[in-house]
Amino acid sequence: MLSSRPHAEMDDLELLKNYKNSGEAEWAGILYSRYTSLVYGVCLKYLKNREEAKDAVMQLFEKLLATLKNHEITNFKGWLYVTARNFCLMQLRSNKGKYKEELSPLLMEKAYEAHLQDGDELEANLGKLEKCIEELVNEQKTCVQLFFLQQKCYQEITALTGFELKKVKSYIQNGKRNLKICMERNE
Amino acid sequence: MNKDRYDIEKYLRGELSAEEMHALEKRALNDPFLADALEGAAQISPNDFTKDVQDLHKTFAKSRPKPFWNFSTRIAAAIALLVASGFIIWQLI
Repeated sequence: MLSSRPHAEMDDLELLKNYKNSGEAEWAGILYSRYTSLVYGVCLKYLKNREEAKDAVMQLFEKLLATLKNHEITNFKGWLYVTARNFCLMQLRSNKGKYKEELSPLLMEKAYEAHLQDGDELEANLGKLEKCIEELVNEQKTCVQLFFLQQKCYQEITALTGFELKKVKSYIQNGKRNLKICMERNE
Repeated sequence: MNKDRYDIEKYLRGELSAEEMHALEKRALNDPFLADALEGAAQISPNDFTKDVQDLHKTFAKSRPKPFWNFSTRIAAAIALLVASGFIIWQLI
């Protein structure tokens, strides 16, 4: 194919570099293919329509081919997420005939990286975490304990508690947020 | 990653073990990209999702635009130009 090394072994930045250096769209295609299902899922979430979402995935690829050439990207996945979400939101707005300024993907990329590190920090402070779990309201406490300490999945938690799946998700998300606030307060 | 693709599809189909489901859910809590994708993908049936992703992959393979002026077409164009101008000059003489 394009090179002697199998591209499955290459990381995102290597593929990106190959695309920039050669200008061959195939490299960008290989890179984008790795994230098709994620991008399609995101487009489905915002556009709520299969055909529109598929269209958006295609249009995003065309946009990518142009943008990747003259942008310095250090975290492709984070950048792609912000770009895809912005693209769908812009489309929703233009469908409604409204216009709002586009958020800068590069700025958001940093926020995304910071977000990714949250998990590690939480786990490093397990002792403090347990104290904070005790302070949560009942439903959040139950769900957070089952999910983080007993490693149960959402489905098992619905079965164990009788809460709806949506509720379980939001108890865990809100519980996690409250935990973080509690941990920061006790620093 | 490709791994995400298969995990999302298996998750939607209920083909993952409880342990694997938990691992993916935990990853999604720290990864808004994955969380959004899972939420969006759950809006349609797992079969439709798999089919659409496959279709998209196929379209990429087909419609991936190839740059026209790559190295070999440039050489070919240069040779054609030389031959044509040589021929014209030869005719004029």
